Amino acid sequence: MIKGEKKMKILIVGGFLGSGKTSVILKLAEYLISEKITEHIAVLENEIGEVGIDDQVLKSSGLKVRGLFAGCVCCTLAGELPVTIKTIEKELAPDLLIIEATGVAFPYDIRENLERNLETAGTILCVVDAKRWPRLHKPLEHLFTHQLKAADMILVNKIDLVDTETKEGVAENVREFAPEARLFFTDAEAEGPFEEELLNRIKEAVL
Amino acid sequence: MTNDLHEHEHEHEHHHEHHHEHEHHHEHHHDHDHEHEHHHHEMVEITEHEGAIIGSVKGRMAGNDYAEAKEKLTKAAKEAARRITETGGIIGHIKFILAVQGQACRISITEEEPSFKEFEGPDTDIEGAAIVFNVEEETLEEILEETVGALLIKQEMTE
Repeated sequence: MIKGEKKMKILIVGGFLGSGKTSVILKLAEYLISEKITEHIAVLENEIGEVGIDDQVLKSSGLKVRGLFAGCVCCTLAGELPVTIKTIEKELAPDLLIIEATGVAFPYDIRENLERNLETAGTILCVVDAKRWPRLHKPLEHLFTHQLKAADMILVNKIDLVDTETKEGVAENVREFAPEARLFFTDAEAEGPFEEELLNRIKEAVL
Repeated sequence: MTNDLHEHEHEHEHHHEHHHEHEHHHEHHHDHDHEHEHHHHEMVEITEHEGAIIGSVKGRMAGNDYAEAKEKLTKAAKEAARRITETGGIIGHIKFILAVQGQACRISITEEEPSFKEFEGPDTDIEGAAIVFNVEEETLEEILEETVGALLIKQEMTE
């Protein structure tokens, strides 16, 4: 970071496979750019498979995207993360870098890496699939415990696919995994922006 | 921000729970040092990470009809999902990018029914991955080979 320049903010988006992370990022980016809250956004797309999938969707929406594939930046690719971020900062100079973690990543390890190696913090936003949570949270309890730990915000997403009782049950259960996190209900595929309180939290994190 | 570095310093179980083996079945070039177990087989590549079994697929389909290719790939992906679930596996996600002559879509399955996201395509044909739990690596490989893999023109997966 050059002295006197505005510091690039980092938003770490975590959450299980298929929970809607990419859709959340697209919706947030659209809002932040259209409202002129953030001028330049870059996305670091991390996928655990050998080939990139969501980076192509993000690129097609006009976002600047860099990919890290075939590993997880919270562990096996942890060493590459600071270098990649520095390269993005130098070449793309975004105001905001959104890191889309893999669906099996532990976001707090990513943040700890940033703090240790780049002396910068990141805000953690995790996405939970409201429909699949009741079926998956027991067999994948270990993964979810570490995935939601230290989240600043959790979006209980896909609420259009569940009834009110299920939605409230999921929220209650998710709170047990992350009592400190602020919870929001979302449908990232719906028209229009997210609710105001969530957007205010995001603004605080990225400004 | 609920962040406490010191609180997390002693809780990095994640790093200590890796039991990946260096079991590369043939020469495998990567520009980074990761420790997944790899099994190359035709156009499907299997890796393991934290209990998740990952099957990556990349290749080309014969023909240049986008709608027909989409229908075939969707059917194959649904069949893969059905077989994974049938064996007692848990689907993390199954995702494929299909691109034919400028038209492209992402086909995504987390349960039985796929969802689609259309966009203007890159220069690729089929790229995708199935990330699952509670399934043997060989089983996932066999399922992907026999479903999506069967649609592809036979060639070695390139890196």
